[in-house]
Amino acid sequence: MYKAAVLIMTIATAVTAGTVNLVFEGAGITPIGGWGENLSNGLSGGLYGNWLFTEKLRAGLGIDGAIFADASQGSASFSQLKPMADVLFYFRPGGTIFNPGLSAGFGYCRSRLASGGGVDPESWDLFWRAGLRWNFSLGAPWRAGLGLDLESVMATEKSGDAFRLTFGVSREVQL
Amino acid sequence: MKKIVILISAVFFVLYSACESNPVYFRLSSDYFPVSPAGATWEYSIDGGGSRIVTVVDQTVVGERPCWRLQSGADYTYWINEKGRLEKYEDHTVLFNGFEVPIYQAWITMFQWPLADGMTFRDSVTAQAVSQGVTLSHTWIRNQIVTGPEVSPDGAWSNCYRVHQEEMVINWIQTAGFAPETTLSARNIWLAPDVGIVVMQSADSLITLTSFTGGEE
Repeated sequence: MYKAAVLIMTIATAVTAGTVNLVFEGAGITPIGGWGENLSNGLSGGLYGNWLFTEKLRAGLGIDGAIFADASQGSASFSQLKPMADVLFYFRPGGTIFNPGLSAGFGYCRSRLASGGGVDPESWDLFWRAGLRWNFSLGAPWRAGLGLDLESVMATEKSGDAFRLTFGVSREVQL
Repeated sequence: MKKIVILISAVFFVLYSACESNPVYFRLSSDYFPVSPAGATWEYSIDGGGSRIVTVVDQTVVGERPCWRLQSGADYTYWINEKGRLEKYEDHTVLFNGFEVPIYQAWITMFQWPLADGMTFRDSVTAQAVSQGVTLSHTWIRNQIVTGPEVSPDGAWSNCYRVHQEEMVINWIQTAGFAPETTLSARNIWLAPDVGIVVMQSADSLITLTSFTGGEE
């Protein structure tokens, strides 16, 4: 709760002026490596507020949550909560159907494993993400985007790597 | 711009200093009870003297399911570790009037993956057979609770889960002169990542892993 309050205050202060691009993004996540062996593929949802430094370059803060279920028994779940800073660069920001871009994020990931009525100690680890975006117009002021990310939770002894396939909608807001 | 950078840095500093990390992805990717490949060998010392060697012999088929065969002394056991659970083949017999009477043959779930602190599971079997006109019944109930992650009691293995098992067995030869026989037992098993059982402790025994060879894939 304390951490969430700090984040909200930071976002509110950071975007006191200018144009902000609000993005809601959902994703399917495929774990890479053995950590997902007993888990299903994951689903995530995130909300991001990116300040437009230029038409092409945006940066801001976001929060993303992901959940993985048990692959077979149905009694386990694994969740991730990721407060992060993100940067986006679009090559054709006004493009109606083709606006390719690059995306990067960096932050923390809170990982929590629950299984059979038990819960392991949660872990907070540094986390990064990098990927590609294909952004297109849905009719002003709305836009949508598809993306592919590689992400890694840099946990002790073994990292939690994964691929993400994303779909997001966004709109710009004048502050 | 400067204000944003300072504020973001402050947030990350607060998160970094307030939050703890532990190797949860390492534990998730580890096999806490490997029963393959062939050649894997565990050597245990038995408290009070003696040793026990467990070896993965080969892959075979039991009860129409492919499984791994493990040998300890003259005994063989059969295991499957897939689909989020570890199963052991049980072939239970009862000695009655000089005959070994088969009661049941079945794959029994030993553990479910992934393990987590506070996890509980319960398994049970109720079976009966008739021999020489007498009904022989068998009931087996096991409750397990998992704690951890922790270091094994001998201090040699980290990120272990301790499984506390309590078992109740009721055998009953249902004829005049016989009453149900109830046996209660409890034990603690420490499982280490990618190794398996490293310590097993009950009221009257303690075995500790002294060496482990992983075998060849």
